[in-house]
Amino acid sequence: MKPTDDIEQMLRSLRVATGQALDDRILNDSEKALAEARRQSDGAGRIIRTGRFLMHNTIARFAVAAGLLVAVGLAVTALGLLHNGTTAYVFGDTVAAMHSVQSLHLKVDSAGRGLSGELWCEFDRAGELNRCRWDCPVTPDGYKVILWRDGKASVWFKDKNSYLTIADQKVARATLELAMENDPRTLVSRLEQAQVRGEVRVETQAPAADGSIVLNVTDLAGSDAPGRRQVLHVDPATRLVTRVERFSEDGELLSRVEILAYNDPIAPAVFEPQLPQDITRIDQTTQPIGLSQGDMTDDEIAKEVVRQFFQALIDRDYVLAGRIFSGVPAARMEQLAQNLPVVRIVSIGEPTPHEQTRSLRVPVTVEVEKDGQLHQWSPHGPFVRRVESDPRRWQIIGGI
Amino acid sequence: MQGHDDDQEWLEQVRRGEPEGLRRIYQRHKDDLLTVAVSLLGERAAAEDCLHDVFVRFAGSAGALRLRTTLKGYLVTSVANRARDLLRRRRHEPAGDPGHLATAAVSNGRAAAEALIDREESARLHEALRQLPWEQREVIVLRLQGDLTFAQIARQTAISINTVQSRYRYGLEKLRALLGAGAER
Repeated sequence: MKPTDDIEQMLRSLRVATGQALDDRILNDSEKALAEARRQSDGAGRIIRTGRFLMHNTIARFAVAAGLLVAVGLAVTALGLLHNGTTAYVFGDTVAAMHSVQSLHLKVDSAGRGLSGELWCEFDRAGELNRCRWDCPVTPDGYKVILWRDGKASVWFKDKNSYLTIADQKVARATLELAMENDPRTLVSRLEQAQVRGEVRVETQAPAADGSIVLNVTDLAGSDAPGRRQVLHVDPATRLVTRVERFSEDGELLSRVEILAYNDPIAPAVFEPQLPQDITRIDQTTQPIGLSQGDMTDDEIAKEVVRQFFQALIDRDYVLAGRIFSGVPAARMEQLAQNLPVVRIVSIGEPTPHEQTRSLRVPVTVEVEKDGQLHQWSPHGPFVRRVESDPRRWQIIGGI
Repeated sequence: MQGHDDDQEWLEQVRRGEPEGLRRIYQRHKDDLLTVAVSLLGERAAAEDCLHDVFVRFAGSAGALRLRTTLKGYLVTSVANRARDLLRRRRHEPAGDPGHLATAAVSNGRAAAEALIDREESARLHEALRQLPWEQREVIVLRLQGDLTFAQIARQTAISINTVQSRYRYGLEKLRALLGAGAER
């Protein structure tokens, strides 16, 4: 997809998710603000009869609610015990059946909320993932294929005709994790563990219209998202999961996973795709990123990284510039550099810590030539820091 | 309108001082609001502070709140207002750092992979947004990421609907030019 094709759609699809720490901070402070507002409101001189006050008082309400919850909880537990005979049996069957899966092919529909596509997985006899491929046709970056082979994750940007092999194991694992969230084998295994920890409730529903067994899985308090629900459809004959639907706490459909095949041989080309000959390859696992620190102090290497980056642009050494700039391929670097025709480094200042990026900001002023005119220009970065997978080296991570 | 009805119910809970309503409202809208804040401020850390301030203020004042729009519309507008204040306050500082968006995201698990996958295009989009005048950026973000209608935006920003539409159109044209120029390079 070209950036100009549908800017409105691209902007609509941009998503930034909060993290747990932020959620905790905001909810904690908000609840304090709510309690304080309530306290002030209650203390504002309203005359309230004791009984009514008690029902409006948060603590009293909680006490009443807690009592009710205990009663309801006991009832639920009793029902659960009655129900568990079936649930454990069916779910246990499914857990066992899923262990027999050696390969699978499925389709994910994220209902417009995330990445949709197709996933192929191959497991070894111990159940460890050997290889997987995840095709995501529609993303803000165009068609992407994520591959996991030999312990390495790669991303094939089809529309950009580039292929990236990821060095950072943390990122590689997270990439794999994104794909494997849709894998029913992994899902069932995790549900089994979560059930043992008391984080989910697994209930068996009466058979669906198509005869499949339906498992309702609800995340309980203490889990990541209490109230979130998953519905697993299980083949009554094989006990294998055939479909998974995920719903938010509010009941909105988040995604639907449909398993297309279990244990069918997967063509080798799926995991070893034929890449175009002119594709831009960047292998972070074989190509060093950034510059070696050597005997330099952190401040010295940060300045040196910036100096060498801009000097490389002046020298049109896009291989070096790209290597310093997070390992961007030379061809891509050359494209980016067209907008930054640097002719001279004017000054490089002293680095200062930049907490937001956990990096050092190195003030720099360069001279650029545009339309035959020379201008001085200072970026808001650049931000320089260690390469996570090789802390002896330093790179520019942004800010230009 | 199920979502709207739920919002009303949860807002009533908040008005009664019940934290459960607050939590539900937060869970439903947090990502949308953070997305709007990041697009307006161009920087994740500032956007998080913006979301924090808006939500804490909402919690403290919900009892007296009289909505003239949907709850989401109110919260999105609050984020935009707060973002404007924050930008005014740090006018001497750079408006944003798209590189940081990716970097911050790369620092942890799931976000890392998403950032890796999308960061290049997202960073370009955020960078392009950052280059728009505030008035155009605000209208575009409220419309496309805040899901407000032009009429709602006009009401919330106290400008005419024609002006809102003009700002939207000119802003999009400028974005196309910025991104198109990048694509041709």
